[in-house]
Amino acid sequence: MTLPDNYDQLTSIEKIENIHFPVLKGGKGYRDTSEPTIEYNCLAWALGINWTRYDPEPRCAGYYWFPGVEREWTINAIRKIFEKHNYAECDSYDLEEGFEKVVFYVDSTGAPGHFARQLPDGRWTSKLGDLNDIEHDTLESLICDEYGKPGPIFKRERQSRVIPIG
Amino acid sequence: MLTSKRKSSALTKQQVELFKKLTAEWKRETEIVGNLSKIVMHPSYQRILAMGPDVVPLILEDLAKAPAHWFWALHNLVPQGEDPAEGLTTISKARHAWLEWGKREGLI
Repeated sequence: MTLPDNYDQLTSIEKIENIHFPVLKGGKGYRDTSEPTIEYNCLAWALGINWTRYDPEPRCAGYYWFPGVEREWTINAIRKIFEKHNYAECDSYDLEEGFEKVVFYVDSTGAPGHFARQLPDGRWTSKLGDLNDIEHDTLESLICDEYGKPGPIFKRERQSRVIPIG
Repeated sequence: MLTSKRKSSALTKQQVELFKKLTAEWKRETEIVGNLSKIVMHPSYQRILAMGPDVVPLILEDLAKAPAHWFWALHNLVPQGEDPAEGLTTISKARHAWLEWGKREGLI
């Protein structure tokens, strides 16, 4: 993606609406729910975690990976992390009473590009890289080259509070 | 061993400007990416890494301004076993550890 010369002067919201996800322009179908931060990433946020970044990179500090899971950013490895958090793959993106769902976006190489977690009202919450986290009405609104499109979907019984394990 | 001598004399003005240009490119072009491997494999980040240990003071200076994904580069630019943030699992703690190390080394 070619970014405009004035990109660095834009606010994070302008970057989201005008550059990366133009379907959200004007606040349509979404609302931001945090300030920009790099303290957590989309994978951690999908697991309900905002104190670290889930990342398999083993050669530096600042990141966390679930013990016992292969250190690779792949569908198969990340699937195991969600299974350890009591998620199981399912076949519907629709809201199901009493269940919490997470969708893996898959890019053109077959790698995970993004993760979104379903809210109790059926909308979704996503952490957008180093920008804000947002609540968005549809999964389609975040389809892009970087993230790819919605792929595997997982669910577990909805919990009143997410408690990180491992 | 990194020494305070590197802080003032190791880089030319052109290299400093190149660092700033590459840093800006890297940050803006990876800003919506969530996967660290993809972030650090960005060509601009790799070019910064290729500038060698002399660039560490500039990285620390940038890190002091705001959190950023510099820990992978720093880990690879200091001698093996000297990563002061080894084992830390949060960005804020790793940042603090590196900045404290930079002060001790006289690099910032």
